[in-house]
Amino acid sequence: MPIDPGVVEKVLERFSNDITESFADALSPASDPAVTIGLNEIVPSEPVLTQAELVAVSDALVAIPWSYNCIHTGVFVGIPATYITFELRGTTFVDPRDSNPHQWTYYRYVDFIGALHQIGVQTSVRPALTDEQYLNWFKETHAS
Amino acid sequence: MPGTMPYVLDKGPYFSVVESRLDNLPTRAQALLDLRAMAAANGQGPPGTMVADICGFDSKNLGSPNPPTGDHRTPAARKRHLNEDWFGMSDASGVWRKQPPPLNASTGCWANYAGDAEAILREGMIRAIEVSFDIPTGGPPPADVHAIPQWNQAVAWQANHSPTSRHWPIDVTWICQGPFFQCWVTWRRLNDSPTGGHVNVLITTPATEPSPMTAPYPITARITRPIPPDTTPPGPDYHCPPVATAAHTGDRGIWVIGHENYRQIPMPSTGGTNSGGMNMPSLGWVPLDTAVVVVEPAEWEGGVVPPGRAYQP
Repeated sequence: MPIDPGVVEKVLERFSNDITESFADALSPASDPAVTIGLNEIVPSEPVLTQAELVAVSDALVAIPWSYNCIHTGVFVGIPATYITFELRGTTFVDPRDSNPHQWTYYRYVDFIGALHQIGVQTSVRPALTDEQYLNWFKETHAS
Repeated sequence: MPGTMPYVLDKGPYFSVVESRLDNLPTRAQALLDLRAMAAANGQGPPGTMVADICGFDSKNLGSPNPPTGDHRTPAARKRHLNEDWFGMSDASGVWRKQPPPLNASTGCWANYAGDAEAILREGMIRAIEVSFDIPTGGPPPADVHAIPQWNQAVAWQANHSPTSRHWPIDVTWICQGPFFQCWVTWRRLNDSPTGGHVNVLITTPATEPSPMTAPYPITARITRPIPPDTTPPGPDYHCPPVATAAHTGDRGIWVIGHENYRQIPMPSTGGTNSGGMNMPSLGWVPLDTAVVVVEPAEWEGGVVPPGRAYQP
């Protein structure tokens, strides 16, 4: 049975709190509102999809693509504050089947690499492998 | 590098040969003049006029493709490796030219880095030689050191002269991790004798991406290996602990000191939690054993051999 539209409304009212609270020690809102629903096209344009079209609802989950306009004010994934304003992007899947909203479960898929690039962290570094992984890499690359 | 570069810091056979050539004072002085002259064409030009032409890539002890020894390369292949992979050059027109990378692309094999690596390396070597000779920027080589382009003549000159002007030895090492291509020149004076000090050139480069002659080399968490990955390594394997002759009596050495091995502790962020409780993604490293070990890396993996690798024309 699909999730009740009234519950979906409650999810949309609450999901941004999960984002701002999860990153409260690292990121500060840079605008009001700071969290908006959207797919963040690379080239800004008129919104292609409405909010109703952006939010997907199944029998168990509400999926919301979002963008958080924020300032890097604390330790973010191990990176000390740079005070750079950037867009953190992601999608949150909320399981709102419990009648108590405090017991809802949130699953987030966040574009951390895009965030790191925006705050000046390059990810094209030499990967550090364990000895087993390294020997496997050597075997794969020197097979001939 | 002729090997697989499992470490963060490297010297290896190529830079050992470069050091050997710089140990010869007439060759060092000639290199200074040659490097300065290259500035007129910004390091570009026909074969024979490039940085790659004065590195000693023709040294017979670097290896050969037939029979396969050492790095399995010809001198021409080594020069091409430097020009294409390090400097992002092309000789498609018959003359080596730098290829300006498009926005957000790479120079040679340097991932996501667009810069003039040749000019940086050339200026770094010029500055290092000037410091070693105690001469101002752009100044002539010391009066008692003759610049000689021909190696055998330079060796003969050095065998019969003892310059009293400063000529500190020059070390060259390389850290490959990124994000920028830079040369760091450091030095230390010990006394006023001609060799009473030393100069270090530390080259830092971005990580590599695939090219015809390089792989995107990973580094290893383990500073020793259970077995050599190459069944026919071009030289002695690593030692842990360092062998005695390489420790305090060897002319040169590179040691890496640390915990021998680590395990990864990855933390994903996608597990379900209540509101406001997202797990932050992370990758931690935990030593398998907290003992500290000292390792002398194999030369073909970035280390040095105790006597050094003398240039052999």
